[in-house]
Amino acid sequence: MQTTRTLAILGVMLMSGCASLEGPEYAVYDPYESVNRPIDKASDWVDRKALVPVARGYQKVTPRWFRAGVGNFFSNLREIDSALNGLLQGKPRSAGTDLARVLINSTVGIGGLLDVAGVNGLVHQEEDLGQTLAVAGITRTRYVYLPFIGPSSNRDVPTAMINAALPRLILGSVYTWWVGCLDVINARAEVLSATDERDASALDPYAFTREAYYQRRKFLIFDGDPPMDDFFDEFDDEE
Amino acid sequence: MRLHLRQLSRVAVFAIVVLWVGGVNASAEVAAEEVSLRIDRFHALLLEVMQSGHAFDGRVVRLAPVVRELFDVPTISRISLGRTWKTLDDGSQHAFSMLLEELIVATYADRFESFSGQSFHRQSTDFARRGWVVKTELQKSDGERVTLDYYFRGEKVFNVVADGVSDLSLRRADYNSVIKIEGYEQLLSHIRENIADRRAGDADD
Repeated sequence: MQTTRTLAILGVMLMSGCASLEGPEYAVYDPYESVNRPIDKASDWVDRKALVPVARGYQKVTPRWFRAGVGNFFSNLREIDSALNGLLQGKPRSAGTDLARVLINSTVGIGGLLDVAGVNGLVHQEEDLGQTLAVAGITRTRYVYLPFIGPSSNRDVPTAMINAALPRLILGSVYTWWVGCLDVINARAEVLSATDERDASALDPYAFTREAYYQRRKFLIFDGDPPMDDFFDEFDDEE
Repeated sequence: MRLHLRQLSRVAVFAIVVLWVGGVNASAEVAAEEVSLRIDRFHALLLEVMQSGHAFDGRVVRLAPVVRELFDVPTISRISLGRTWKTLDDGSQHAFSMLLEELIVATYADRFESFSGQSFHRQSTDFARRGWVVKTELQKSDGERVTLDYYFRGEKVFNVVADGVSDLSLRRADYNSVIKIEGYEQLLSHIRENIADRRAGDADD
């Protein structure tokens, strides 16, 4: 009963994702906090009890070059999405850079294990569907905490789904359960220091993560250069 | 004679405008140089502290006066607490600012505990509508780069933005959530615990 209700609420949340919202652009909006918090708490419990110990062990027994190779490999599989969204946002240079990266890294970079393109100055552009929707005008979005995936929003849920599905779609039957586990564990190991720092700083990790998520998304939407004045204007209410 | 006076007055107005604009530009340049130097000195201190091999308390002693001089802690305190700030009397506001200053120092002492080839690079100093922004980059030993932008109001920093994430916004969201759920006294208690944890974490290393 509880599961059905949660799923029903999640369904409504997703379907209403594109409904217009009021209030300042890119601001935190969390009308589902009463649902999000328990999901965050449960996911965090599983993360601490299962995933983090495995990721720490993995980090201890594998050399850095190995983890970098695994990260590069899966990142390369997902980069085609970035190229496509660069194009959708009207940024041919960005799309071209990502496409060139995929071609170079998939061939010279031994199937994406080595970031040869990055070493030669072609930097990953980090575009995705959520950013494309933001560029198209969806700048206000409701916060959603996805079970075992993490912070997201109505607008960004499809991005999370695409990220999860792309390696499976591209690799087909090669994407076995242990390849999937390697992807997840390596990705978790890569962000261990970030989550350790969050745990050391945050008094309410839920509120902290939510705020960080919205700001990080805005940073990416503006290609790493959000308006400087916003960081002054944001605090006008406190004057 | 009348024409002569009119010309003179035009010249005077022109001279005033030129002097005023020149003065503003000159003071802006001085300010840009001053805020840039302040950040350079702060980064130099962080590198020195990391390389010194001092224990936590030693790093705190080195960092505290510089943090006090560089950061506008009363403004950070006021914004972090939001509406709660106005409900506090002067003594409580001062006490909170002191506690927050202690936390900021402890956080820097904890984060910059040892040197492993990190370096800081200043990218630019820009004037936004209401203050200077010094854009810098921290390069870690593994090549990872983190942008660190220092936002000034007047002569002091009130916000640090790392890779687009504002420290002040995080603090405000975090503190207001704790106040809403647990109350102001619990917030103070959590901040004291956080400072103690950072000190204890250093002792465990």
